[in-house]
Amino acid sequence: MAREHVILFAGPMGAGKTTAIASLSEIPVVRTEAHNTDTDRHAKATTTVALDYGEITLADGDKVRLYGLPGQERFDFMWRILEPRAIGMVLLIDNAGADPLADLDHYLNAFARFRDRGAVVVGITRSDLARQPSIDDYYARLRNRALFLPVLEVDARDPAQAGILLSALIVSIEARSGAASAPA
Amino acid sequence: MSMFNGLIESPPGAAAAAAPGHQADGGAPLHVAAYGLEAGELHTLGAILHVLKTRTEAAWELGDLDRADFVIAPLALARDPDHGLPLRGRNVIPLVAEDGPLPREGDLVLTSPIRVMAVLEVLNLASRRLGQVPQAPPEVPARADESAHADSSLGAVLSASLARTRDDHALRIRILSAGTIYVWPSERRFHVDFPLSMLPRIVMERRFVMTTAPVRAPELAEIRPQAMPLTPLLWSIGIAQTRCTDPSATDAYRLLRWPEFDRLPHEMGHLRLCGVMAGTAWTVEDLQRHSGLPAPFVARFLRACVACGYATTEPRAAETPPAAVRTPHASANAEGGLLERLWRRLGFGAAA
Repeated sequence: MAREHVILFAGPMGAGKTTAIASLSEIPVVRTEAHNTDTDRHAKATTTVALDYGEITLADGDKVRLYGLPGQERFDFMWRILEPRAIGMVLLIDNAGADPLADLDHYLNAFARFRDRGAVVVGITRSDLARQPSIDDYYARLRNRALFLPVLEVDARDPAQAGILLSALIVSIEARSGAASAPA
Repeated sequence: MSMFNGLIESPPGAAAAAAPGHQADGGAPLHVAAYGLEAGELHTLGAILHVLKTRTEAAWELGDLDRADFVIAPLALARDPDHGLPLRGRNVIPLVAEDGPLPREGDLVLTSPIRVMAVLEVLNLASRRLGQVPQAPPEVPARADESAHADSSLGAVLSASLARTRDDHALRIRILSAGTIYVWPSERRFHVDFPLSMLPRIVMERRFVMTTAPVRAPELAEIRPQAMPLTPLLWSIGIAQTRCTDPSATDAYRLLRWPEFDRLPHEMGHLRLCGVMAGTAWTVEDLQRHSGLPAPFVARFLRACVACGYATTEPRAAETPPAAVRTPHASANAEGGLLERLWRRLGFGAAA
């Protein structure tokens, strides 16, 4: 029987969640966008208000379901609905944002419960527009939290790069799964 | 296109190549023949053999097909069941196109266009295969780093040279089939005048000329602004299938950060090793056992990670680390080999 594997894409508005899912999905992404009224935070015209959805069908019929969570906190009820089904999360951080390291902290805190049971990878987008903070800065911030998560630069528009990020997440899921199933 | 079958025409003075004084072991000279080469290739090969007459480890003579110890023939012809019939049962040195697959270390292969150093190398390898070169006198066993340097690939030679080059000098490596690599070792930067994607292939190259030059040389000063961090070069050297110093069996390796897989060549196994290593220091043996990946693959990955600063070594832990009880194979099965299936689905190639 075909199984489903739910992957969440989280991060601040404009980090590239919708774009990354579109790069990976074999179907046109189901989008629920609305006019962006929060132009102070990001200048883009529209933003996700409920969720984005895309999928990848594997050879045996299993499906990898990709859900993009809205970046605005007032929609965080969607996070709670999807979180229990998810096996992993791609956290995208816009390196050209106002305070990318604070964004990292914010989302790690917001998903602290998920982080305890699921795998998380961090994708740094738009680093071509802003070289700082560096990847080393992100790792340092994670070390301060006693975390070791994969941090990779990614161009969300590039299917190959988005695929590497997703693969890194799956590797982490399998490693965690192995640790959990190991004898005590 | 004319094709010649049979003997290479002996260049003037070729007989001198077989002079007894040139025979490394005082025995009979070896014989090489050519079969199915084009006229230009035959001419080049004949001239090269003439040049090499005093430089090969064993003496070589041009011979006819029937008495040849080795026959140089186009790869396609050697594989042709009909036209390649005369080559059956003979020691064939295939002649392959330069854009064909790279020979592995120790392969008896000649690439076209035929070049002097390639002929010298392949004839020396051939004579060693036949046991025609005197055994080296007993010596103290080479240290690990010395045996690594015995590898003549660009990657191995460059690794050794990086540490030895004076601070005020840069390395310039001309690769006949590609272009030039410039390296500023003290600044840990480099520049190539060919696509970076060629690096994994280029570091296996054995036909190159390496020189040093002062960093103030006009040629170097001009391109220095275009130089980039050394990481892509070090990574390509690290993961290349060259002989290398084995990672320490007594140290544990800790991954400090994931390699930049968005820009570095990689295989699925590299990602899997990162997943296994996450947050814990691993000995090579444990890492190999728990990843299920071949030991040389693991060793090359660690070599690349340490060279690029992605991993560091620590004294071996006194107690087994918690992660050492992980069973990635079991976990992969628990997820139904999700990574493998996804890897194929995303078109990243074979999952092996």
